[in-house]
Amino acid sequence: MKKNIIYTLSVVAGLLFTMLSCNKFDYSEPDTSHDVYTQDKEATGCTTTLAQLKQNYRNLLQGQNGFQEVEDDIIFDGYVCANDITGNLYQSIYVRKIEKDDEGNTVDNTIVVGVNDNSLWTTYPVGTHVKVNLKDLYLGTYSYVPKVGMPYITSAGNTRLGGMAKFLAPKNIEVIGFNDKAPETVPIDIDASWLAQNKQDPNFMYQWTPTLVRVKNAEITGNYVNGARRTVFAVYDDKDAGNGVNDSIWIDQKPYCLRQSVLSSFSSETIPVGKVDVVVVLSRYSDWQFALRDIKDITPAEQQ
Amino acid sequence: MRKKRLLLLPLLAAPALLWAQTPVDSLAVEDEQDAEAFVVSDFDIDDESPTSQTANSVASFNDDLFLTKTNFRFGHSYYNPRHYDQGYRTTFVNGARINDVESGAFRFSSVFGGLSHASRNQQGITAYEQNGLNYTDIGGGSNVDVRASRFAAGSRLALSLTNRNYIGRLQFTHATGLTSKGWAFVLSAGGRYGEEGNAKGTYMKSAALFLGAERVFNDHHSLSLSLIASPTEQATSSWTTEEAYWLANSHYYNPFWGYQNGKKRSSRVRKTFEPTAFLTWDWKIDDRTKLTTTNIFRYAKYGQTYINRTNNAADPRPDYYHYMPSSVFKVYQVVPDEWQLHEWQNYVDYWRASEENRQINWDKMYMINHNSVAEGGEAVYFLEESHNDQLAWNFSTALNKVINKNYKLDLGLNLNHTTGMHYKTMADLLGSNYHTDIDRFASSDFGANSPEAQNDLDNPNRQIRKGDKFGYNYNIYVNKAQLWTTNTYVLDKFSLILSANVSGTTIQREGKMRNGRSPLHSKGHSETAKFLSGGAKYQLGYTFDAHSQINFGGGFEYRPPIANNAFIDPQIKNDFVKDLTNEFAFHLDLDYKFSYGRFDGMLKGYFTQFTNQVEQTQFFDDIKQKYSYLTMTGVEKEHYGAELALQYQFNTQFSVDFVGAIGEAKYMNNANAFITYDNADEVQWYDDIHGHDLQVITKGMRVGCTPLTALSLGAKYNISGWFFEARLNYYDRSYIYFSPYLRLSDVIPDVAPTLNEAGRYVYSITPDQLKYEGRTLLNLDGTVNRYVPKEQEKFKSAWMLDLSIGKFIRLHGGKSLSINLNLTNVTNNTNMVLRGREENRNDNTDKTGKTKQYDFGRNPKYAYAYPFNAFLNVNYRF
Repeated sequence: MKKNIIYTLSVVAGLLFTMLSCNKFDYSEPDTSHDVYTQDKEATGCTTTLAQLKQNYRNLLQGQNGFQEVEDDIIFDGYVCANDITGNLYQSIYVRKIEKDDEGNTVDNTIVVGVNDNSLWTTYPVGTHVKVNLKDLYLGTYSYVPKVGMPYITSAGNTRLGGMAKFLAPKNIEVIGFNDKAPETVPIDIDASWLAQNKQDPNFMYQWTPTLVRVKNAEITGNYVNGARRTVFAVYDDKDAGNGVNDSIWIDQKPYCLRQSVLSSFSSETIPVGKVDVVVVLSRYSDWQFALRDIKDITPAEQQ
Repeated sequence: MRKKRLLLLPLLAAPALLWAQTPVDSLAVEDEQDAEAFVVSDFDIDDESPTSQTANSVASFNDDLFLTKTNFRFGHSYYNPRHYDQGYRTTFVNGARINDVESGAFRFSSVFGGLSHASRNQQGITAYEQNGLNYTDIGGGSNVDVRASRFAAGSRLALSLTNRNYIGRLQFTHATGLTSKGWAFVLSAGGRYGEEGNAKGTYMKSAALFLGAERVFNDHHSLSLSLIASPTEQATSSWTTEEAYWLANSHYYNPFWGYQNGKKRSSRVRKTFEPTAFLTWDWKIDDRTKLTTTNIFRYAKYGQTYINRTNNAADPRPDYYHYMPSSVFKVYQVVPDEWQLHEWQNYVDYWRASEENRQINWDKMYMINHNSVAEGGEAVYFLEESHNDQLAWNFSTALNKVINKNYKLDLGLNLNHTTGMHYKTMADLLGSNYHTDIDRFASSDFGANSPEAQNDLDNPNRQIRKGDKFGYNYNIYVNKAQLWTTNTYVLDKFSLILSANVSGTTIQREGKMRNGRSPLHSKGHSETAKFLSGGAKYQLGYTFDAHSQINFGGGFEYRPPIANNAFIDPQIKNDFVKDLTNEFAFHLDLDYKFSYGRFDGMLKGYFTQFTNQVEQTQFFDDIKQKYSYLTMTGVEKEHYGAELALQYQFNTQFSVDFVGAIGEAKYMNNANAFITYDNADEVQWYDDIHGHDLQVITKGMRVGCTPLTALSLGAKYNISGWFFEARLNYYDRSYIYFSPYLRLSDVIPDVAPTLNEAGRYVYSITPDQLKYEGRTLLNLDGTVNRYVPKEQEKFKSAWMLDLSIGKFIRLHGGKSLSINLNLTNVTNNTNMVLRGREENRNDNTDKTGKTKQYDFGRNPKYAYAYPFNAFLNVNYRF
């Protein structure tokens, strides 16, 4: 009898050992097929358009640095055309909307939406359809560039428009869909004459900065450091107070500022030599200023 | 230092005038052991209790009332006897040393976890005693006897229920005892399981199997083979900051887990599996001579998972410092403006809005990976598993010879060959298809397309799938040989135990990958570091009468560095730490034991001095933006203190006892410091770069996370098979693990003096600055006057009340049933900090060079003692 009990218990113990050794906790993969990131839909509940918003706050948005709190539900939609995927565009997404105005004209507007967070590109990849609610946020400009965010005080004591608190983003920037083929993801082609023509037009500026543009047959060069042109995009030791360096993008033999962050993931990459076609974000500082989203946006020029 | 050592020499020499003998009247102690073993239960050795890393949590010490009382009683406070590192305590199995030669320590629970029956024949060993088994390190240790014949014939079935790391445990053991045919067999098997442990998001599942067979051939020879395996998978909990605990409103907040599809999933899962075989040959050569030879073959698999990410993805840890409200502005130093306050409140509201907000968001990581895959990309987030596997062979042979009635000789040889295998694998791609094997820090420094970014230059841009090795892959080879002897002389009232050992150790690394940051020094074999080590010790005893005895002990030891500290950046390079050499330990010990009727006691004093120690830490340097390795060499420490154990037996049913340990364990000098960065092929020593010596201002720092003061008052009562015990424990002077980086001579902020009217230096520093940051006090000419490092935090003292109730029921036919209930932290003290560590992070600037808002210096990470918990054990013998 006792032997049987021992035998039985030994078998039970062996089975227990085997079971616990083999048993794996299984985590099923979340189903994201229904996710907003795989499909797009019409934005509902918007109270305005990006074009109307800019028009309504025209005076504010033509200034260099200013902002105003928005207390009401002012909601517009748009597509993300640029983000911080490489860190070169810092704590920002660029929301763009191409739409018809009241007179049936096609208007194209982009605005910077600042968030005090990194890696926004994971939540807001290019092509993300978002609905931005300005309630309790601030609208204004940072160095002439229209922006949504919240103010902060610089180390010099100036109040500037920065990003919104990171945990506000899920509430104020609602993701409603995804379409990486949306026209808003396609840059507009510009050249030196386009830049020259629009350079001093304040009406133009508040609408067209920032803008995702493509420049053909451009050339990128590093700035001179110790008598020689830098061959990589940015070097930490060369950074200015804004953690950036100013390289040059040559368009029709004319140099423009190509602003690079020393903290971008491509800062150590070698600058391509020769003519290139490049997609960049156009904005303005004292003059036109360009910034790369990613070095993947640089391709050999189609026509030399 | 030298002067102090000279002053102590008389302590070494004086006892030589004495001769001693007679160990103790151990009867009372043995009785105590039985009761102790009953009340303690099996819980303490196989649970992941703090002392489970060491073997002797329930080991009995025949001759040491203090250790017998304290080795389990203070366990939950992380009390380390004499505050030595685990590597100074030796664990033997059948007399063979089983400590891991890479780390120096032995993870008891990895081998014996869930098998308290198998490890029941455990004997504690003090540092100086003649044990006949092996040479013991200065921290003492224990020996586990797993020979099948040592298990009493019969069966045991044990069921345990608890609310700690697991919920239930079942264990069955059957032993035949030694049969008339000279065979003995033992089987023990069981398992532990807990869907969720005491902390949310933790779990444990563990199986355990022990098989033993022994053949006694004749009066002279026997051969024993024992096999043990205890595969365990456990989701662990984390230390975090007080701010995070405050936001989560619990000192048991665990940021390691999150919901996936509505189900809790941990990011830190530890898997251990150490199948081990013990083969022992006992040869009784004659009545006075015995030879014991043991081989241990151990294959250890140890893995731990972590979430990793590509360079430009957000950190998924919910308590990452960027996500804390105190990262908004310098909350301890400035009055916020309205926007900062608004943002801070926004962070607080987010943390408190729901539990999901403060846990890992698995679903989001999957969503991001799915997006990346849809765009033709790779994993943004993935779960990797770092492995520290080991294949070890330990050989031990010990000859015990009784030369005459006054003299015993023990001689032994230990051999060890260990291959440590260190690599990481892809545990889960979290919905993506592959990960490219490049280093994200180097990618940021040199560019993703640079050779430096490659972890394996021979297979550049390799696409890593689930189960693939990637990142790093290297072996560490350690060989050790040790000869030892113990000579025991007994003459009347005197006894003298003299022990000595000499050993040789080699350490070598073999890189399996040609790393892009060190293409010339990463792959292939390193040079071999060789160390000739050894030491000697003595214990001189004198027995005054049948009631009291005094012992003086002392010695020295040259110890090779452990392999884990031998390389400056073992994941990448073959380079050894600069000036690697033996460390030295000098130790003295004094104990006085007495037993007068109902009153027993023991008083001990000790002094240990360590020199030439090496300590190493790795961290991300915010300023340099580089992964860095900080090595301290020439570390000097002193450990000293007093230990007391008293016991009064009122009658056969009721006794009270007191044990206390008050000691010091502090750094005595400023250590030499070397920093290397893992992106440089040639080793760059910090002092080479900066042209001056670098130090870590360690002088006066304490060994971390062990209470230097531990006191306990206990009472026991038994009647009619019932056992009751209460223990009130008090802990104080436990210090945080300090950050060497924050105490680097070049990192401590400078302050220049002004002269007052009396011509004395005046420094403008606030008490808070000194406390949390430290200052380098300069002279007027800019030279260093004095370093005042950041204060090392002392945890608040704490009381803890534990109770035990047991009932022993003798059944007919020699069967018995014992029921035992242990209640720990009965008053539910949830504010007792057990452990904590400062972060090796700079407080001054962030990576952009801006003043950092988050204050690492004031946000160390803590772990709190478990709240009230219970352990019920029912044991049926038949």
